Amino acid sequence: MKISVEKLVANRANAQKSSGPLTREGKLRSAKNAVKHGLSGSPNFSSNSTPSPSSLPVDFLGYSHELTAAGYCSSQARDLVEALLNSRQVIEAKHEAYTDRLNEERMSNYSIAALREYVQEMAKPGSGVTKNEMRRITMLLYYQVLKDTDTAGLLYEKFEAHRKLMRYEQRAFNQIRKKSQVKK
Amino acid sequence: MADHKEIKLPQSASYSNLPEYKNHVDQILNSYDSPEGVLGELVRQMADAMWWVKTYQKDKDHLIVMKMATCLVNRNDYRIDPSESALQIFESVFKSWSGESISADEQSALDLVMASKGHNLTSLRAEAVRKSIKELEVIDRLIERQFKNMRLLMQAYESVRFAPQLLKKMTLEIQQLEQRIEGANEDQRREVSRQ
Repeated sequence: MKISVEKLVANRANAQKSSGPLTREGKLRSAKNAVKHGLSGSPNFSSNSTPSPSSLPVDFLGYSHELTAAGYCSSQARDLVEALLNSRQVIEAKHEAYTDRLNEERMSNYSIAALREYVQEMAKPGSGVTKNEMRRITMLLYYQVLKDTDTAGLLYEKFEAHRKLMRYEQRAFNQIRKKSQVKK
Repeated sequence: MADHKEIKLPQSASYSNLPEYKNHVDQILNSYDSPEGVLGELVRQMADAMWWVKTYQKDKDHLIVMKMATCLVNRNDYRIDPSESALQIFESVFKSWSGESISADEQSALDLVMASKGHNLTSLRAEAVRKSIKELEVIDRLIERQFKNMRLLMQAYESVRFAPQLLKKMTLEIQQLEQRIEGANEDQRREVSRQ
């Protein structure tokens, strides 16, 4: 456990007082806070623009030339390269998501009594934490222990991560097929 | 704060350095006569989908065996005898179910635990599957998705591969149509001049 109960409660209380980002830069930065894999956002380059060399890996730029040489019109070649790029992004996100949670990120197999004792030890007199709050914190920690020590559940977490990516996967691969068809 | 992710090609991404993954992709690429460029990328993505099918199948089996073990031993039970620990039971069940050799001691310990819960290996597996039916449904959907991805990529592969021939054929057809129209116009002109 990296943080004391006292500190956790104080952090939560202070966060409520925050006014949030005020400057334009701060707002732009915090807008990216919830970004997990960037797959649901807009594509890497707009449909009207030519992919800039800086936004594409070198090989993908080569793909665009290759498709044009094969007879695809430049806009279709660009769309297909974009679709390939998106699916590659999905593949990367899948590989990144399918990893075991490290031991350091998991709670050990504490009993509920041990957790209760621990929480009581951490809550110093005068910290303002009530008995009811301590009980709730103990239960939250215990649920986390149950989750973190369930080997089957830990394995299933990886599948769950992929389930969340499935719709992006579906969209990306459908786009590849659609964009690869030669237009008459 | 996550910035927009940089896209890594399989050559530079960390997962592709795994020898098993690399061998798998190389094997698939070889079976397609090692295409390069767009076709190579499509085949690599197909190989990735196949890789996930294998991984999901393997982990699905693991999940069932883990559930089988948890049906026998409560993970919160602290036991003095290590032969009854969840990990030991998991190993014994896994070996027993996958047909690996299992020592007589392990087998008798497993039989004892199973008998205490009123199970044999088949009924235990049925119980584990019943308990994890929702999870298994999700895994089956993931596997199905990979097959769909493969099919879509194969169609794209065919389109890109035969695009030059198709375009050539279309150009010839257009030329043929143009000639036919020109011929018809010529006939019309002759007809008019004859009249």
